[in-house]
Amino acid sequence: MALTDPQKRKALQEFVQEVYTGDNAVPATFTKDEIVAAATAIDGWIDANQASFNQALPEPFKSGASASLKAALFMAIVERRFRG
Amino acid sequence: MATGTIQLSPGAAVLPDGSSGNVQAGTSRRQGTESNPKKHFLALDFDGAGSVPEHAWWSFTLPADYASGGSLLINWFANATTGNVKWQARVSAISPGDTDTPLERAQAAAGNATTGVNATEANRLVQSSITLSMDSAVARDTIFIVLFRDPADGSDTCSVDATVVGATFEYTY
Repeated sequence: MALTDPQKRKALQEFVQEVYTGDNAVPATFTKDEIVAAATAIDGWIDANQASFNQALPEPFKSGASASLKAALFMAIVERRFRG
Repeated sequence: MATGTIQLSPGAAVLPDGSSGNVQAGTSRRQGTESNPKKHFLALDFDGAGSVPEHAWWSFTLPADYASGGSLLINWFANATTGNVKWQARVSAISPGDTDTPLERAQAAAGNATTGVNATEANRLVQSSITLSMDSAVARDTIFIVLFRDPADGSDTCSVDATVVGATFEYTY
């Protein structure tokens, strides 16, 4: 289910806090609207690719894990890939 | 005619209680990057990514030589090289014996200024000036002034905190 506007706003807040705030922050080079547009596109991509993502999983995880468990593993992999 | 100034430092700001409609700006102690002794200063951080306005208040007595005018000069920076920050400010002025008590008096309409961040380098100082609606103020009035930033305003496009290092009330005498 696609994110609502308030959920996208929350994602924007978390992104800004994570990337543009604090000692290791990089300068913000995108406006709020540009970041929200990217978030919308990512959200749409997840919708469009949910089935193929599920199809790529091996058994027994594919049939045995809930959608939230699969999402948790997905997020863990993304985290490791981009943060080491 | 000359210009008078009243310094409104971050350390002198009164922050609201955080209730709905009264969300406060963040405060931070900043440290310079020069060699020791590094400068340390207080700053007010106004959110750019949230959905509710953040506020900071000051109060002072309007000087005896006040003749006219009223603007708020804001010195600020942001960790960004793109986007605009829309600053807004409202004033209430109370004379002795006014029908409205200081607690009752509402603020005049908001003035605003939309200013771009420095596009060359993040965190360079930027200056904005808001022409204030002075609520029929006269010399020696008690003045309350609130500075705020509404991150949900369509004109405010900068995604990050705008950090105020100082503000100045300017008037004509």
